[in-house]
Amino acid sequence: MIFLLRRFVVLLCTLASVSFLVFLIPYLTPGDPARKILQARTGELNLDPSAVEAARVRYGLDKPVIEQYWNWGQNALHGDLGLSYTSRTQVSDLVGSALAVTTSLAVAALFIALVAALPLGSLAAIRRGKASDIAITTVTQGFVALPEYWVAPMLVLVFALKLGILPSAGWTGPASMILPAVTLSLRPLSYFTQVTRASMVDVLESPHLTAARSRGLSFAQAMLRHGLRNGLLPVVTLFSIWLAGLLGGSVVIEVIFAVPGMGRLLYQAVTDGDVPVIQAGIVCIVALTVLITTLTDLLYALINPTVRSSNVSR
Amino acid sequence: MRRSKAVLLGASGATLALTISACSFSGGSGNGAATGSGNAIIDMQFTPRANFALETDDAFILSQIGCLETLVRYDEGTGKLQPSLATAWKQTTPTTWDFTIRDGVTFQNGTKLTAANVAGALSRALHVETPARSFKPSVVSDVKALDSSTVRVTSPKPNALIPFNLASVNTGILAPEAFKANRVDPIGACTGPFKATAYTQGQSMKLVRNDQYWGAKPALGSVEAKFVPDGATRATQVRTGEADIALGIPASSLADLKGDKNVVVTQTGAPKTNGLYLNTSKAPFNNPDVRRAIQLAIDTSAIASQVYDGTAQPAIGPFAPNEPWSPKDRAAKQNLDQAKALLKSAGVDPGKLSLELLGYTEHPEFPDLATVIQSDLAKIGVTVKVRIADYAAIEPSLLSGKYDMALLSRNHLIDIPDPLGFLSSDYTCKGSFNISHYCSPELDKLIADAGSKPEVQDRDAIYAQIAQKLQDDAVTVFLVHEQSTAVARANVKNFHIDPLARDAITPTLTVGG
Repeated sequence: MIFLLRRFVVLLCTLASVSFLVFLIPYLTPGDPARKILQARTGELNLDPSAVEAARVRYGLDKPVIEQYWNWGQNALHGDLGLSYTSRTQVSDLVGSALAVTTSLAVAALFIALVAALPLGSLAAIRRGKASDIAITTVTQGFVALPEYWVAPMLVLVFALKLGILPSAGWTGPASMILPAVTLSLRPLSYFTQVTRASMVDVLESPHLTAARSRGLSFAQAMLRHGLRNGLLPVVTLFSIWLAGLLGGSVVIEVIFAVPGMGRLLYQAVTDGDVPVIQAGIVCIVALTVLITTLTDLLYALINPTVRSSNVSR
Repeated sequence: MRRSKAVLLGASGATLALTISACSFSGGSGNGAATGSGNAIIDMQFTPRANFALETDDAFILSQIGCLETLVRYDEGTGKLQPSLATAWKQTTPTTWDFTIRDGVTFQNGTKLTAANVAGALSRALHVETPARSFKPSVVSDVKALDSSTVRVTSPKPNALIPFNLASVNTGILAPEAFKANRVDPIGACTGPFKATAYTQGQSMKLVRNDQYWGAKPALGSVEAKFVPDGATRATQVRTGEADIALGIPASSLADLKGDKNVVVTQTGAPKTNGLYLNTSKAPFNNPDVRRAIQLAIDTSAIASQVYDGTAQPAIGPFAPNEPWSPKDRAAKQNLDQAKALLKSAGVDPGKLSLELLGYTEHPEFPDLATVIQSDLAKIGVTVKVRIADYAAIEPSLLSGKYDMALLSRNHLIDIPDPLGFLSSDYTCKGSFNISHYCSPELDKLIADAGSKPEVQDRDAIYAQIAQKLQDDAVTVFLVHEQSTAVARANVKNFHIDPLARDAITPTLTVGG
């Protein structure tokens, strides 16, 4: 219970401090916030001074910063994150639909990574030191070094342009999800494979697997009943950490593949100077990241009681 | 038991992914079924970002896809205005213009186009929070319907160019039903050859032929406009056949496209010139000889071919050679000896000159461009410090005149298809965007003269004179004229790039055959 309470207080403090920092964006960056609002709408550099002053009063920018933060925070607590400067629509609608897209892309990418990494990592562990282990480790570690802006066009070149079997961009159905999800899955795939391999090596050397085999279980049976389950735990933790990390969206992937997710929304908002969208986007991502890591900690505490007790005793 | 839990976990994970995907692949808000013959898919460079508010650049998107129309059309071939939703217009007093609305036109939802509807749409455009440059209260003071077919536009001061303002896409006419509380809904609300039937937020818009169109019957049966932010992806989609036309092709994709016999690349000059703006209000640029020396030191041909990869032309002045008001002169050639001699005769020691050059990150070529200028000026002994930041960060220095040199990209036809607005704001003594802080009573008089001439050719002749004077005085070192590049599949017929970005899908466009 104390553990839960502690995590909840941490969550609130993180959100409060992030929201204040995010609120300060237009004041900490150079330029006049009122001019930025008008330029976000029309893209016009040459502004009428009377329109700028009118905007300053209309948006309450002539009030003290603390008062503005108080008003903004109160509205945010009620779910009103304000209107986008450029589109004049509710920011929560824009962020909500983009977040749904990014979440589905992230889940799909991590699912691909997991499905590929578990057998690859296990195989590498079983064949430790042999050619297949070296090949798997080298290739998957190579994925970390491949930049998305190179992988994405390469996949498009092969699967859309040469073979013509997948769409090169868009967000129109499961087929259009494949190339962006595969591109996004390469880095987590590499880490998942390495972690699976390491934990499986530990499992293979553990006495309980030897004991299981000595009871007459075949290698496959022993692995399935005792090996995989223990070997999987670190990968599941890694999965949730990656999920939290990917919720911000990948600007490169979402722009190249025309995916209407968080990365593209924030990229466009930064380009347009659309501050409310930037603020809401960052607050949502931070809130979700803190929430997911908190849930992961809770789950971990449930699975592994030593975590719980160490927190209680502190 | 444990295995079944794992299976359950895996299955629920997959279900979750599929459910989220199903939710996030949002469908359109209407029926996008194609009717008639031929379908064209066009990849648009820009995504609607302001809910189709007509005072924003979203109006260009609606116009390009054949939906939105204006009262008057500007024909860049002849440089003259043509009738569109208005059949005639005349200046009734120095401050009023009367437009006769075309008879027998209906919006795509069946509502009749009347003078009252036109006056209503234009009044909205005038009174929005951030009106477009072409149609703001300082240009137009009132719009009203005189009778069922006449709309009167009143300006606060005599203005011979009001019909040009009514050719701007920001003054496009939509049916009264289009204007909702916080957004504009163009579905069924245009008068153009194609009728928008479905819009998927930030993804695509579907259109079908408008069989009630008042003009020539459109050849295509349907159109799909896809909003694809990455230029290389747009280019690829034309090569794979996923799109028939793509607008806004980056230089880096040109080599691949030119080697593909299934596609045709077209380029045209855009009314946008990138220049090195000099602060003429203080030393050393209050001396015209120093400005000319800087102009002679910079190699604009190398900039066009290397920084812009051949997608821009070396500038010959503020206007590109294909524009009707451009002087027929050549670009200033780099001449380092002459530049050094000019500095010497002006009594300026280049070794003692240390200048700051500002540029903004929103224009991706500016960092490279700044480096080339720095290196060119080093050849005549001038030291340049470069500062690149967000536009918002450098704007205060520009507006207050606390800078030496700045890179700016300016569209000189942003408000109306006539450069008067640009010349007045950028180069008159009291100009609202006179970043150069240049003041020449002679130039002010020329610009005022041009504004008072009702005939296009008279104005164009004066604009050419002004352009020549700006170039001769080296008020701004004009660097390159930007170009628009588009690509279409070889079976697309009658596709032209509009330098003013108003048209892409036209009634005569066909695909296939």
